[in-house]
Amino acid sequence: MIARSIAIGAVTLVLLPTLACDRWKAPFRVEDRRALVRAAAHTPLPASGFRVRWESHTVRAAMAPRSSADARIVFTNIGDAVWPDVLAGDPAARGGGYAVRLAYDWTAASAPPAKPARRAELPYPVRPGETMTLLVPLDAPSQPGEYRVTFELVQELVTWFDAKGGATLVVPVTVR
Amino acid sequence: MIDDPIAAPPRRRVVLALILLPAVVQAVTVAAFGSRMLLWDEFFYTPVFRAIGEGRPWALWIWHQHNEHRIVWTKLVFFAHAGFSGWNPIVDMYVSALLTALIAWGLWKLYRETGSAHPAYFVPVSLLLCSLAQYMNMLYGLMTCHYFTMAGMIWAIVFLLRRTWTGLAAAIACAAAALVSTLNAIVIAPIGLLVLVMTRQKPARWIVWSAALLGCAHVYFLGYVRPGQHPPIDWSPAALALAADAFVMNLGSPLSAGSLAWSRALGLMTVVLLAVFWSSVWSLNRRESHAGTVALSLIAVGSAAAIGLGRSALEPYVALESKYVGYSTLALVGPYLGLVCLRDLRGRREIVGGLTAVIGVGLIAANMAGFESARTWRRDRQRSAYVMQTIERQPDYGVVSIFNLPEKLPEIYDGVAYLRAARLGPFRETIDVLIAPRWREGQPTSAIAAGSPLQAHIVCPVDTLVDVGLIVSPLTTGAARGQVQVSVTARGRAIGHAQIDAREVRTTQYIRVDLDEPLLFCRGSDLVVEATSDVAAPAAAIHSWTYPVYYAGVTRQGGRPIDRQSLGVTFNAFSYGLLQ
Repeated sequence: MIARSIAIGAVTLVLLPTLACDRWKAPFRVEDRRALVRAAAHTPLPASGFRVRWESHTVRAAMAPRSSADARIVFTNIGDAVWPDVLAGDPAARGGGYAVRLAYDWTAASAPPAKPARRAELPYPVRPGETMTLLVPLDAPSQPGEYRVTFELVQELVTWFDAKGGATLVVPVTVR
Repeated sequence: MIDDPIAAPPRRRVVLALILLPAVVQAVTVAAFGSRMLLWDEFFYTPVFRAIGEGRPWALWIWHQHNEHRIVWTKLVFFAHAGFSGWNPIVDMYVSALLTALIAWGLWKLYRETGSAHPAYFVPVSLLLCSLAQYMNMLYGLMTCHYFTMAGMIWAIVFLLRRTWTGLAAAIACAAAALVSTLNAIVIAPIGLLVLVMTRQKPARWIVWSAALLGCAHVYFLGYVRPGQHPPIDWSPAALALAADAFVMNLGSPLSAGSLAWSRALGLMTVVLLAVFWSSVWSLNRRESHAGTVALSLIAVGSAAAIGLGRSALEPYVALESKYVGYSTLALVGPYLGLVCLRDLRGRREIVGGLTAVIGVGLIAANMAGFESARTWRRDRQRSAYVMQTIERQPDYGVVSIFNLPEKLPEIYDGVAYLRAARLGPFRETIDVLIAPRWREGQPTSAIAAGSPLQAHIVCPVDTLVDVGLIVSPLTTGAARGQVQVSVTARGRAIGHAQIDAREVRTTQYIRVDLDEPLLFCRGSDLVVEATSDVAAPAAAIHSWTYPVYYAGVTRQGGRPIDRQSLGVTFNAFSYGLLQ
């Protein structure tokens, strides 16, 4: 008798929440569908995926010639696509194709704008709304003068972010 | 040996202790070795939770086959608790512990039905029920299915022994409940019939039992699809010999500590024990009193036969798998309890004494082996949980290591994205660890010599930093010498330091740096890991490795940046147990 009561009680305890309502279902809902999006391999970002907000940086306003310093660059993906890293961009070759990278370089203040040549990798794909902090090694030029350090995102083999309306970060630096 | 008969009935608290002992030990085992990580057979249900969350139909999943089983109760249990537990399989493990108490209670009742020997004889049974030989059943949430099956079958026998129509109805309900858990319970149909015959119950009950169980089986097999992954039964003589071997090994598995040779030996001993027990029951005309214990032994035999026939084509160790031990344990429990109560059997004391000694020694060996297996099991689960949480940094070979199912990669990626978004399963806890995911793509650095120290300036990738590791390898010449120092600096102060004699580095290994105290709120802050050596000649120094970028940072050697590579640094890998 006791055993039967326990068995029935246990079964009821199990069944009740199972048959219950919306409250029981709530934990299984994903409100923000963007959380389910994964970085697509071998795929250009959609036009709405190139939006970036530069949050902060630690590039020094003045540096000595030939000196080195690591600069912290913080930026946020304000688009609606995941920015792939090298692994997600091309999982087989991992050569950097379709990966989003931070490009940066020095140019003399008087020189015409040029696309930055140096690259820093994302350590993992950056989801919409996610903020990424990267460190980049900045080696000051040997010639004193006024310079600017340009930071820009690029999807390799696809396009520069600024060509799709994405912002660029330009920091003036005096080398003396 | 304990003198019997016992005049007074056992005290209630003694009985309670004997029944609860295995459950308590099992719960302690779960607390020590349980992991939130899901195994594939659990992860498989991720789409169901997604369907529930999206308001799509899902109830049919309850009846869907899981291999050859239906595991209805198991699914109901985890569907029921997943919402508030965040789909934590440890809850299922505790449910298994509760079911063990129910099983122990059922066995106790069968013991009392068989005779009135001393309750101390039940101690080996309690210990067998919580033996770590069953570590897989204990530490695998989905294995509640086997506990439901066992409990259902044992209580079906208990109720059949009541010799009433109500008892028969309860027995049918228990048998049906066991059957919709796993197909293993199909053996209860003929075994239950045998119990009815042995206890001389009315033929009308035989008919009702048989008809009810046939009906249950019919419903069970409606729309049944034979699972593709199991090879069909091979009836050739060679295959039957293999099946017989697997049968014997399975019977010996509860005490064999995972050894094939011991499984065979103990399995043969169990076969002899069963033969002695059954023949004694028959010859001493104790069929009525011993129907329950005979039935228990037959459950084990039926299960071993099914494993022998169904799994012998796979490797021999399959017969020893921990998940089957629950059933094969009954091959010892049934005869043991039965023989204890066979007072007029000549040599009973010697047989029971010998059997107790074998069970005692075997349990020590099985628990020692099971303890190691449980530790390995937990370590593997924790490693898989870490890989799952860092899946976006992992190459395919890393992701495959989670479940070892390369053909399931797309489902794994989709399921993990959902679990992360809904914070279910292993995603309910943050695993605060990082280790180079693409370890196959490492590149050696130059030697760590006085003029070429290594430095990694890192954006801390974990919330609380407890330990750091740096991978190093010896020179091929084996001529390394000097001391290598590894230091960790954060927020402008040294927080950890380690030193190693380069001559001790004989293989690739990690230099472990335990921080002076855990560094709280580390994520996003600056961290510097440096490796220096007092050896001037690079030819006499060890080296480290860099990997494709897996954390934000700048690696330098001798002051020069190493472009787009991360120094092989681990974060909290020792305290989490990924490294030892």
